Amino acid sequence: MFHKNTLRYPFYVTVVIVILTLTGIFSTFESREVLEDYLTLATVTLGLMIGVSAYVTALPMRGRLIAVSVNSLIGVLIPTLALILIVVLDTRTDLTFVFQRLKDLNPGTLTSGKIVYLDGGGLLSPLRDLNFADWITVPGVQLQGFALLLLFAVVVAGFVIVYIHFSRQWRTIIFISLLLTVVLSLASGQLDRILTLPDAVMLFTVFALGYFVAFYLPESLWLRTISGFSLGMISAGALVLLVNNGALDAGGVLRGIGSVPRILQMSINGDFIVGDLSIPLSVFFILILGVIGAFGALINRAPRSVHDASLYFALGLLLLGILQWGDRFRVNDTILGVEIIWNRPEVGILRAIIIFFLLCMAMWIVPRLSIRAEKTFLRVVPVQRHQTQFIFFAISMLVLLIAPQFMGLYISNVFNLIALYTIMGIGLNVMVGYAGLLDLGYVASFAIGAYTLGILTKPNILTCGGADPATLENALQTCTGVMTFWQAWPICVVFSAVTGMLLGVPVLRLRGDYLAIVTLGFGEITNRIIKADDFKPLFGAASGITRIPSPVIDLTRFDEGWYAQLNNSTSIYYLFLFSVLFAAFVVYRLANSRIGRAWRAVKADENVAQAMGIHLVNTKLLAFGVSSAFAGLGGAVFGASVQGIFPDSFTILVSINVLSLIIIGGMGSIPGVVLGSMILIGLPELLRELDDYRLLSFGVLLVVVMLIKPEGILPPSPPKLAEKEQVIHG
Amino acid sequence: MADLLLDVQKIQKRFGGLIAVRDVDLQIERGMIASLIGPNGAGKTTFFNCVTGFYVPEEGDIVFNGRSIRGLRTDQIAQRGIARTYQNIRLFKDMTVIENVLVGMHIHIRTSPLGAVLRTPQMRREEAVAIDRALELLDFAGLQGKGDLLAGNLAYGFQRRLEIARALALEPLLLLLDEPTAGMNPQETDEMMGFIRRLRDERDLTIFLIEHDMKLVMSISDQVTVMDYGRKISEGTPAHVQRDPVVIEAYLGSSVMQKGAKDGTA
Repeated sequence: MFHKNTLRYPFYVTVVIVILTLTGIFSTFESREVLEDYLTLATVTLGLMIGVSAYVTALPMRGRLIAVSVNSLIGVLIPTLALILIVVLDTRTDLTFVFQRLKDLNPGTLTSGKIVYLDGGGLLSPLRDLNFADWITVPGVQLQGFALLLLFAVVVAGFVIVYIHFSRQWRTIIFISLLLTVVLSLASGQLDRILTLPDAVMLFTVFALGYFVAFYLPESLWLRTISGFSLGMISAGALVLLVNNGALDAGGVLRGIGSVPRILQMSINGDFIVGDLSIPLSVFFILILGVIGAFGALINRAPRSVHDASLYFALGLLLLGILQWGDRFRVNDTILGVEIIWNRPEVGILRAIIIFFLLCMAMWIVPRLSIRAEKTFLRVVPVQRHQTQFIFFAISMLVLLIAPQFMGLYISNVFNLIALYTIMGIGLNVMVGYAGLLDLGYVASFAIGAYTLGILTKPNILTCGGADPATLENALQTCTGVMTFWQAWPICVVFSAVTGMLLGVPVLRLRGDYLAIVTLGFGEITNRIIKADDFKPLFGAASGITRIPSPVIDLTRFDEGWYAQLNNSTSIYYLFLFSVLFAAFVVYRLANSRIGRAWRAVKADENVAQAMGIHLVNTKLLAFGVSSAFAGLGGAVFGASVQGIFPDSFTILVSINVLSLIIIGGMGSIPGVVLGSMILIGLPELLRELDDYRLLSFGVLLVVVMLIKPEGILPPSPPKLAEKEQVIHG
Repeated sequence: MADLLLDVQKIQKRFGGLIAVRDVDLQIERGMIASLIGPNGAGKTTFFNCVTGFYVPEEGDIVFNGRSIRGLRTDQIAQRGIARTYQNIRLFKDMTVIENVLVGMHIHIRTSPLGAVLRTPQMRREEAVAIDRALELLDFAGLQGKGDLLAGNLAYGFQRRLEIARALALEPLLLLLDEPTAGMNPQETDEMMGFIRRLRDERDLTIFLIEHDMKLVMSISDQVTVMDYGRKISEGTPAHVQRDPVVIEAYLGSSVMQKGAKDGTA
């Protein structure tokens, strides 16, 4: 019935919950709604925490229903009772005296008073009208609020009891789907403007059509491409006919709920004009769908990672569409002649349920499809594999290039931030992931890159040849040293690389902790130098360098119209995109050569590596240099994108962020870095309200990842060198 | 005078007050299988570490292939043609089997960082040749078909062989094996013995090994050196060493009388 940890695990969780409660997490989360009117983040967090407690407590008893039930009840009740204790204490004494963020704590707010009620006439509706806040003023007499909390705990326990009896695979699927549903619901405010539902459904359907039809086609690359392409075009043609006959008007078949679809609208609206040529947009529409169909048809035979990524990407598009549904819906809608009344909160719930099931389904079906795709891929002759990979590369580039047209300023901004940290992550990965040199002062190179750009592209004592620009009239013309972004860019990269190597020289003999501490010092020194008043003419001290000119693409000598200033987040996006690709390309190539092998050998065992003839100094310095070069690149692009740099942007936090994203993503793995920065940088941007708990959640995430998957979420997969060789010979 | 490959002249290595290697002289001729034996703590591995540059002896000189290598860095010594294995296997465990061997070829691949980024035709050719050679070495070491496994996942015996294959990838003139049969059963030891012979016969290597297995040492060595308490106490053919009373004493302990005498001198 019990096991040795029956009391221990809930106790651990209780400690965590108590600490979080006292720091006021529930008061903060209470104002954040996951499902409008129904569920707040506080409830979700509480449910998650006591759910985890119940789960770990009951898991060893799996298979014995009564034992599981008893254990999970114990698991939820211990933390719940602790919470009740805090509430009672709070009413008796003023805990806010010590814990300043603890406010308005009562059991009603903990479950937000809402989790149990359904809409009017529902089973539990009487609970809705109870005002818990008043109840606890006389503790010990009226305990309904506590009763509600206990009821909530029992509900969670019940869920855990059911959950625990699913297979391991399904438990993972359900948990991740739930988590993602919550995240998507939270982020929906930021994400729901990207794609309309009809657009999303259309793109997904065409993709799926291409994908599944290709199942039954013979393995000819061109047959697949052409049939996928024509399928897409036929669907597009049908849509053009429909749309031109009014399907997009209010109440039309394709209009559905929500705003006018943007992509679909291409099929009726206007022309695209190049010089004297005017092409109807519907032609582009048909071509786009054709490409998507072909993509679907080809993905059947992609390498596994590409296949999975594409499928999840398609799903992501669909989910983005679903998120839009319910944001700008109309109260009354007529679909196919049936009048439907939607209420916003109900749409929210429905939406969450649909998202949850779609995620579950996808996570169940994708691995199966993926095995199939891999079999096909391995059967294909190598030449065609290269062609396939090339096509995928081209299509992904196309998607990345047109993406900002849909993302809008805010999302582009988030993307740019992710890209910035990806560049730096890729760079630091060379040091930490490949060469095993723990660098905690990575921000130094980042700052050097950014300040080099700031100095070179602005009039100052250096670029004006020693004169103070403030005393000069028309400083921009007189200061001949001022460069454009493109001239300064390579200098930033090279200068960062060189300073990185110079910093590396004195610490070459240090390893592990010692190296970490010394590099930590470098980071701080850099920060102090740029802050110092002594260097004010150059670095601007605390006021930094402002109004850095944004990069300009000036090709007017070829064509009058070819002039672009990259001054907002959708245009500077391209600069970030290019830099990420550049960094990834260089590091990937290096990592898969004798240099990458030397780095990894040095990381594994320095002495043995040296006995294999590897020159330690050169190898390590190269790692320092490459790593710093990309930090410098990141710094330069960062400086150009924010157009103003301040010492406060270059603190140890940057180093820690970059390091954490590598550790969480997977040391020595480029996809891992991308994923890591999406999770650590992108997610907090989308969930802005949780900013106060950002570092806390970093910590929790790090601990969880270290415990469950110490090698990171996407560890590098060992290269298949021997096998590749056999294929070529065989 | 025979063709000397390694000529160690009266080297001495001290750790604080402890003299781990004291005035040891040792000559190895090209094409030989030489062994170094001795009780635990006799200074054998320290001697190896002096030869491969992990330690620099305070006194004496080490001449390899006609040139002194004393004081050179480990990687320089490796480039001169000395490769080694370790008593406790030290593979790059997180790298694949073939990558381990490719690391061994590091000095024979000339690709520069820029060449690696641009994937120049020369770099591709070098990589292809290196992979071919690595596969061939794996075949030779009996590791065919295991190229893409992680080195850390190999069975113990295979790890030993991989360590040797990695050392062979350096194309050394002299191969130092530190207890190649440690932890092996008699059958595996026999296989290893055959493998070491093949190394010498098919690859024209000179081999210098530390070993505890007397049967192996006595049957494959051309020359056996015995160390005890940091000193060389005997040297010669296996037959000579086996009969040497000093060696017997070092291994089996002295008689009561001799022990008494020794205590008196201490």
